[in-house]
Amino acid sequence: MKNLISLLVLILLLSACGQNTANDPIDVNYKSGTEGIEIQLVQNHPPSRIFEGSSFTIAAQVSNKGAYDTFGRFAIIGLDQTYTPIREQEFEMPPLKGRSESNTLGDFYVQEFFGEQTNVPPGAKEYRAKYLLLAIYEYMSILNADVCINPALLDIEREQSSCTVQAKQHFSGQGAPVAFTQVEEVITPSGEDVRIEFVFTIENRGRGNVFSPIRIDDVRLGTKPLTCNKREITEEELKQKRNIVVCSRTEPRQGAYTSALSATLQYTYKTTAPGEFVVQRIR
Amino acid sequence: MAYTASKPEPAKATPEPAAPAKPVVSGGEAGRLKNFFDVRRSPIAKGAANVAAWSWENRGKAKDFLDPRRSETVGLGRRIFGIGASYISSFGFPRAEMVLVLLGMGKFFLDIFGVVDKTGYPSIILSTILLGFFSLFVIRGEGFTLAIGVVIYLNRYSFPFNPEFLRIGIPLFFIGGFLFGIKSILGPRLLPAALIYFYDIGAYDFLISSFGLTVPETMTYYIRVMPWWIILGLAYIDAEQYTHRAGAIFMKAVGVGIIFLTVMGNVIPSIGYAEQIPSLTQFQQARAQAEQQARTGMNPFLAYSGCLIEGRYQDIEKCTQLKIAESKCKELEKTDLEAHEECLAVARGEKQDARVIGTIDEAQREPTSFTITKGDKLDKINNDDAVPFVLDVKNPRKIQLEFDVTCTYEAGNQKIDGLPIHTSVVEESRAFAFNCRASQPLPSGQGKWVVKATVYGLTTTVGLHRFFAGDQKQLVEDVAQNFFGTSYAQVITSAAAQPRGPPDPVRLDFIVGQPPQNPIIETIDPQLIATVKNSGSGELLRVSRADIAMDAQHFTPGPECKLQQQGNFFVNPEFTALGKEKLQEFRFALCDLMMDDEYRFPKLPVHRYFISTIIYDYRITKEFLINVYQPTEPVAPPPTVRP
Repeated sequence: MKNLISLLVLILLLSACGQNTANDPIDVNYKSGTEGIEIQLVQNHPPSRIFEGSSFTIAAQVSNKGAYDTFGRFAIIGLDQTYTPIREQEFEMPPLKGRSESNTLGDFYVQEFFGEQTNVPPGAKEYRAKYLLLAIYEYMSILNADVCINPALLDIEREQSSCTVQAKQHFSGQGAPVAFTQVEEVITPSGEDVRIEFVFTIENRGRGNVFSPIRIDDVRLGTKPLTCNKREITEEELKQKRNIVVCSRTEPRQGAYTSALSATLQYTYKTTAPGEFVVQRIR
Repeated sequence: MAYTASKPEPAKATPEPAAPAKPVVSGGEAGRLKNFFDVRRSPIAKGAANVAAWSWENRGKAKDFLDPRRSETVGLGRRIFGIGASYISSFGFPRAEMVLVLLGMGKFFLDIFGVVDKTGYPSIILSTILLGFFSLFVIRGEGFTLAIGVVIYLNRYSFPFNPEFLRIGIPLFFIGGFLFGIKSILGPRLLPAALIYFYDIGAYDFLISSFGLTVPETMTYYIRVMPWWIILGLAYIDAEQYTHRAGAIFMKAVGVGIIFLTVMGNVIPSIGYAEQIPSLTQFQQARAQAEQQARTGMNPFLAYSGCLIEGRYQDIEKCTQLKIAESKCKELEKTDLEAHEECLAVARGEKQDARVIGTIDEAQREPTSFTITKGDKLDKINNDDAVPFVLDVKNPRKIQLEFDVTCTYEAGNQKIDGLPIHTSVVEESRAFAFNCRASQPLPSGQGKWVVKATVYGLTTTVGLHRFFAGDQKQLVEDVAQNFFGTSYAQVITSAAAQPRGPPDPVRLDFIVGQPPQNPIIETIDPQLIATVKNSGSGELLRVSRADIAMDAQHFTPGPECKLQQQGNFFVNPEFTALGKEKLQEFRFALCDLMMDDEYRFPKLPVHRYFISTIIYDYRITKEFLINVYQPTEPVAPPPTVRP
């Protein structure tokens, strides 16, 4: 009997170690990936072909698939007001929360543009109306990484240290289109102190374009702020691969320790989505 | 020179006395033929012997075929197979490649001196002769059948491939292959000559313009000015094979010299639009239009030579450029002084080219067109007979068109007016049958009916996409990529940036921007250029309205501008087509425009599709030869068609 009870207890214990079910909490890092605002045209809004004289609606689902909250504006360009008149071309985007444990998909909404009576140019049998939807929004990227600060000069000292320095760390993204993709750590002795340098590589990994200079804010090692060689990177610098920022701090020499390195990027980002429909002349 | 003869002769007279030859040639003729085919003895063949050294494998076959002993044993089919190739191979043509160079030079100089119209039938006939000569004598029949096929196809059929051609093509290739061998069909060495022929008849220009291809200007320039037939001939000259090597080398040097001097010159801009459905006439039109638009001017070789003769050694480059420039613009001197001045400045490189190149609008592909054809094949009539004709009208945009048709009978100095005819067309397509009948009996003999059809109220619209981006530099790349299918740096070359309209006889093409070819207008005031183009085969009689709908209220024309604002439109009150009926292109407006702030600094890029409209009267004239008989003379019945 005792054996049977022991067996049942063992089975219960083992079953507890099984796979998670859908309702179980999953440890997901939402601050990963390179997405931001995504625009998806709503099917059949407008239909691919409409007749002259009819009105139309262009609808798009605007989703925040990144990890940060955002706001901005949403616009349509390219429609000629004579042939495809549109009531309002630009709207304020409502604040959209990013993906998180409590909002796994991120916020989204549907933006509609209302078109009025369409026309076809004289002589033509149809008019091909091309347009471009444009989301211009504020976004940010926050890097959080553990780094080992080890001022040891000799190999033997390093081996005995509590942590090992990783000269280069690579990142795929922080849940935003602009990402810290690499951090290089350089420690150099400076008298009784050590100079700690972090070389950040910043890249646009999203499907849109950076629409403003990228501001580098709040670079800290633990709670201590770091000083950086530049405060912003322009879009042009980003394209030309001049995308390196060096931040540093001088600390008194001490034993090896692990600390949290954090940095924030703030910028305006632009995402576009093209569309088109045909206005057909009624014969 | 016939190989077979009817009169039998003794065996001794045959080329091979020892053979029991069945006599096929007479004694004296046999001797001559023997000498001819014997490359060691025939004076003509001595030269041909050199050529024959490169000849293809049929040379051996020819020898076999000419051997009477062999002819006795082979079957009829085998005797006929390859007979053409054997004949060509054995006949040869001494110094064929040198002759091709000379012929090529002849054509080149006829072209550049303007003796032969590059876009006319004589030029096509010359090119056909050169193609035939090349395939027959230079490459010894290789590709000969293919050459015939190429000539027939390009002169009769259209692109893309027309299966109708197979009715002629299959028997042609079958018979040609049988008579001239397989190589006469495949013949890869014919390819360069076929390409030159393709260019000569205008098919190249047609394809480029029809498909809206962008050919680099430098490449277009070289294609246009190169003496291609000379180059082809030179490629086949091997000086080592010539008895007088110095002569051959001299000829090569002359040819190379011509090529070298020819490539010096100005860069020619690309070409415009053409109609969709091709035929030889349309190839010629496309070529003519390309030539007209390219304005190649004086050949650089001649210009350079002229400067050398004038002793302008110090500034020979400038002198050459100026001579070319002056010749390019000569045509405009009589018609439009302003345009002439500008043309000179552009040709000298002092000013940017301001010509307007249009394209075909996909939404208006079919042209409004009308043609006159004879009702039936009767070309012999009694003096009181009416001659039936058909006015075939294509009116895809269903415009209300009014037609006046007049007939005049002309024989020598005599002119007899026919009765005028009027009709209206609103349908999409209509074949209007009418008779040309004189008010009095026609004089007997040969004459012609001159039929003129005038259409009133023909309307053609041309559209132009433009974006006003203001100072939003961050969006210009998006605009270029999404609306013009190219990068901002390349946007000027985009076909989508060109004015687009139907391939009608007349268009009012226009561009606006800074430079005018740039479809993305930022903060700098734009320039507007508009030209009327007559690309049909008729006369532009009158323009009843010509305007450009382009939000005129947002622009202020500069002081030199002749345009006036009428609401949304710009019109040119001074514009007239009088005296320019036959001109292919003339200026409507050349203006600096000042934008208002709404367009200079828009909140978001503004897209506008501007439209030009021209309403005009147009006339085509066609002549029909005819033989007039007195009523007593019986008119020969038309020949019966045998099945």
